[in-house]
Amino acid sequence: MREKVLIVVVLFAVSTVSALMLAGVNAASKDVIIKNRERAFKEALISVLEIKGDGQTIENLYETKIKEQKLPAGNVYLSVDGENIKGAAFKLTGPGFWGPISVMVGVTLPDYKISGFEILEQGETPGLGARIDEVEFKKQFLAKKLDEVIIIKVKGEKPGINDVSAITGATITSKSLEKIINEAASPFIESLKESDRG
Amino acid sequence: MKNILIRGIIRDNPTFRMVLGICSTLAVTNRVSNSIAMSLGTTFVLIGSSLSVSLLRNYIPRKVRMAVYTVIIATFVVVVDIYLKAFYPVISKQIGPYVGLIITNCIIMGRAEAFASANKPFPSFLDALGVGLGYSFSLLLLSSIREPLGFGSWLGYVVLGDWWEPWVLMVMPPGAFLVLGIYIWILRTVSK
Repeated sequence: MREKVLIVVVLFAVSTVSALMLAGVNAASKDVIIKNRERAFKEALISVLEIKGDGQTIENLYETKIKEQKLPAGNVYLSVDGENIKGAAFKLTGPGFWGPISVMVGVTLPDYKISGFEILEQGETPGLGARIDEVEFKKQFLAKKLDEVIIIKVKGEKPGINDVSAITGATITSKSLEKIINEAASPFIESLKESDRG
Repeated sequence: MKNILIRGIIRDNPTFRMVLGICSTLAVTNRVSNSIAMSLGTTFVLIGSSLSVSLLRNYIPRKVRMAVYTVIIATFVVVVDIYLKAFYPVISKQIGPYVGLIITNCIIMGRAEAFASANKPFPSFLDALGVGLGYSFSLLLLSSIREPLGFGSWLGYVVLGDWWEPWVLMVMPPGAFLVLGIYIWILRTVSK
């Protein structure tokens, strides 16, 4: 009997100490983590919309050059220069091989050509699927038309005009990304085209 | 005392001699930078959990010792994960999913059970440090072969020129099996 009580007491004590420690660490770093995430988001926006900095801070550029607009499909970030709307960017999310993949895509308007492509979040295999975050891979998307189908071709197939080459050894990640880019983007494109007409 | 520290590096090397923690070894050694981050994280968790287990060794009931070790190990791993997210977001983005898997690295549970649960804190600390260094040393050796052959680079610096056709097998876990097997073979032959 005594042993059973001891087991419960020890397990309870260890778990409590652990929970308190983690709560403390989490509280201490929560703000930094949120700030990191926001900063990464704004940096990605500025990068995919090709906004030139001239030494201005990220915050400043975001305030002056980007306008947030709520569309039925979700939030769209417009790159504005006075009255002109030069481009639009939005976040696309979908399942990857191990976990969700989020990407930020920027397009020039009104031709819907990709002006920038950044990975916001991914948990793919390091060295394989995670290579979707490498510059060589990302820059393949530049100038591709987002309002048409973009196919990520597996090695050996010859990529067409609107296609990009997949990462060797990461077929599932590449195909998931292809699905995200085409399927998740189409409601955004439709909303943008609609608001353009209206 | 000195022996406790040193034997973890060569004689009782966790990867090459005990063949433990192979899952993470195969997964992260395709790049030197990933290996370094993984080594630091695992060594920190090893030291933290071995010290805690050693301090608590006389109070943990035998029947639930594994459960207690798991809670302790998981706590340190989550601390590492949060720390990376807050201060090294770039590394966290790259090896994020593997940080959580440190919990299941059997080297850590192995040291808690085989050493820390029966020894005083200071020897346990030395043992954890030695094994951590041994693990880091193995990851570095493996990735120093795999990254050049698979990507043509070492720690991101190009070491093999354009003439080198990257050997995809080396990037994937089977390549790690091959290199690991050769290292184990060499180490066994040398130490005979």
